[in-house]
Amino acid sequence: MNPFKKDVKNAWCPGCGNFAILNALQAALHDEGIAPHETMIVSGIGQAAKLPHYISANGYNGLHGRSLPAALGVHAANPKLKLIVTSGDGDTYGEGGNHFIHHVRRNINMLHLVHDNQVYGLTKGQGSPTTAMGQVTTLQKDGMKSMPINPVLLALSLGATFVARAYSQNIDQLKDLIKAGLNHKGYAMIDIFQPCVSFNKVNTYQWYSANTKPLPDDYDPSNLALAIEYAQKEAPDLPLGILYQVEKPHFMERQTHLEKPIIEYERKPQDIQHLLENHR
Amino acid sequence: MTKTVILSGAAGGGLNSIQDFLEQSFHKKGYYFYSYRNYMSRVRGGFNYMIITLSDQPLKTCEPKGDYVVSLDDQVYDHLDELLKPGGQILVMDSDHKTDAQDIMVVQFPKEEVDQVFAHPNASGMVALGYLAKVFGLDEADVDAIEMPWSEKVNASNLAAVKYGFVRAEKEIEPPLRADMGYQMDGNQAIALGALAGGLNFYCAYPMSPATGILQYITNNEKAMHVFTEQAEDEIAAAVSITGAAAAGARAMTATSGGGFALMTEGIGLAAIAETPVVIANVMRPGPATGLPTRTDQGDFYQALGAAQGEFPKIILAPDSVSDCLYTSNRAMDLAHRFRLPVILLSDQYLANSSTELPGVDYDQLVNNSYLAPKGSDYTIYDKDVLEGNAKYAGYDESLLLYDSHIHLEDGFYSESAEVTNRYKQRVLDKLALIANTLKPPTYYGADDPDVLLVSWGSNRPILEDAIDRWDKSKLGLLHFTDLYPLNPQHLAPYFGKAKTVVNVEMNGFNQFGKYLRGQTGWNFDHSINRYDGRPLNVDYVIERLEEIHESL
Ligand SMILES: Cc1ncc(C[n+]2csc(CCOP(=O)(O)OP(=O)(O)O)c2C)c(N)n1
Ligand SMILES: [Mg+2]
Repeated sequence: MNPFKKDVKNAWCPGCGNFAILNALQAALHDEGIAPHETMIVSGIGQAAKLPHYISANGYNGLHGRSLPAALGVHAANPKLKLIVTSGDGDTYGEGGNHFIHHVRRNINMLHLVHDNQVYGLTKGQGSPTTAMGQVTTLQKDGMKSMPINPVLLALSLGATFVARAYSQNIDQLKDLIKAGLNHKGYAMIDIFQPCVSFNKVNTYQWYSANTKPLPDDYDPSNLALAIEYAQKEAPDLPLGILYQVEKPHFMERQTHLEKPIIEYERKPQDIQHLLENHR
Repeated sequence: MTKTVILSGAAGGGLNSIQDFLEQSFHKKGYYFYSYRNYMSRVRGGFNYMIITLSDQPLKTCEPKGDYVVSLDDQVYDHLDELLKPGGQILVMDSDHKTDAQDIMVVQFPKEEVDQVFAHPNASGMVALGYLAKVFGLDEADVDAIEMPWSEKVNASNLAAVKYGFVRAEKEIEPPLRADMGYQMDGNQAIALGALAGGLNFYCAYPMSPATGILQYITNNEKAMHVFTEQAEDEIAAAVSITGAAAAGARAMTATSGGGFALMTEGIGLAAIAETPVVIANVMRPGPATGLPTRTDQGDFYQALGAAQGEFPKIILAPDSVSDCLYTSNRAMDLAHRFRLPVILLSDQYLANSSTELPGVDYDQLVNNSYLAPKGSDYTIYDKDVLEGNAKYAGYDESLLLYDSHIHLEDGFYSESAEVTNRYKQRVLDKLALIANTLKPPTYYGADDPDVLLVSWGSNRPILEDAIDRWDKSKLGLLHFTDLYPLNPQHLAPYFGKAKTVVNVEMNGFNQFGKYLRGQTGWNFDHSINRYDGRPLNVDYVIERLEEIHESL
């Protein structure tokens, strides 16, 4: 039995790509020998962000757009918790765009799964930051009038140390990528194409299957220039796999004054006395 | 003996350093002191001044006017009415101007001379420092003991400048003979220390005057105290990060001023419904929007009271003095963890930039209590029977915790049921009732049967007490609140109808707290004393208003 499985009613639409992401995550965590109580799954708000309710682990389902700041807090308090953030494209790149930029700069040791259905699902189909120019939505009836962002290219430009792209339907690859992300030392981001069966009439299962390609066998993920080149590829050549991976000191390694999690240091009120001596 | 020194000049002229050195050496010599920084929101230029009141008796506040006014440039002549006591001395460092006023003494050090002698841009301030040191009876050894933080060469030339001033002055005041000096600090540092005493180990904030001092102090001491500190990308991140940290077991806090607090509010509601203990300090400055960045007021009570959508449990506390910043911030940390909710600490620029001596620290009043459940015990994160204590956090043991921002079941799973929603609302009401019985009642100072009862909150207390002493202690009383929300109206019953006239005193124009009190108790005020020009309250200001009110009675 996979201990991450949880027997609860799920509110996702039948056929939603989120189910595959949930299954792949549960399988990968179990395969890696991680226990539920050692894990913390943080999310914002949206359909994707309901995931912490559907997995047996520690969870934190917070505010729309604010999963990453919450994750910063969790991690700095106890870096021993296996930290996973799972949230939508609107949550991550829209409402939380500023946090995303600065979070990448920190290189926190965690896995970030972005369920990128290229639409606002929960609020019923408005355009998201990754919806294509011209695409018609439930709100933008004449089509999107702004350019979409390219999340993997953006992450690369910010110095992300692990950038991957997955497609929820390619479940074996997704699971392998999640495992690679779990084992990465530093911030690992996987932007996951996830068909929204209710609201995205363009980016369907058929569309993703026809417009994505695995990276070539001889692809070198340590080559940033190559990663930037591949990240710019458009449909029908949207690349799937680890675009880039490099090892750099991660955030808590830079906190050189902390030898263990802050919650493990004892503190008594009298400990402020040696600070008070500087006030004499 | 109580004398006041005012240091004035443009920003960037070294005023802060002179103030620090003066305060430190006067404090070491045994003077009681209370200082306040009156400064503009700019890096260079403008007119800033620092007030340092010195006494052989403990001080509750500073005086608005100086016996000695140091001017590093000639701007002081435009501010004499405001700053100089009758018969006071001006030390002019940079001017050929002569004032027409008859009754003031001017000691002039031409800046050109000073600059020529010491060839250092801010030497004139050092000369003034030396001059005042001599006037207040410091010895040459005291001057030598000043710890200057710059390069050896700069320190030496500054010390020479101090001595240049020292030998040109006469001793006028005998320093108090005292060896039991306490600790010198400002309100921001006291807030930081109180939280650290309460276990603070996670601090994340975005810089904003006048709260930045808290971030600075905790970051400066992160190594000694093993604290994680981070400059967040914005206040939303700061507020949400502390809830995440609390969910994983940290004692977490942030601080900001009104604008940043506005951004934090959704996170405050989150902390309440997810039941993550956090402390959020709002060091108030006048709004709206950017307002007056470096000035003071109490305009954010309504904002704190109404922060975030929906109805949820929270606590609002307002420290009444620099020393109370220490104890109230410690209490904020304790209450947050005891009841698992956000505690809002309302301080202000007056406290943040007031520096004074704490006679000592009373460790009996400082706590770092654990409210944790036994490890391995059965646990439900939102157990309906638990309103305080019995906490766990993610990773504490093998219990699984699901923190959630929706209306939820006891295990954290979201719910839209009417019954569950009603149960949550009952939990909110029960928790608030429990807390109202736990918080501190207001304090009372003054006459047993006052003609006039002043009602106020936060940093106004020491000033109003001084005003009562000076006006007529047999006729006045002060009912003062540090614990603002939730209120227990029963705490107030003894004061109802006690005075013929009730005067509400607040540093805002809307009488925010007074009206809230009226709403809670039906108890009305007849008059109010308000100040909202960004300048701190002072005893003269209160007495003038009291006299007006008295005449109208
Ligand atoms: C502060 C705030 N603004 C707006 C919303 C409404 N809202 C909830 S989810 C959402 C967008 C969801 O899109 P996405 O993050 O892509 O998630 P999906 O539902 O597609 O998985 C919005 C706008 C909210 N809950 N909070
Ligand atoms: Mg989406």
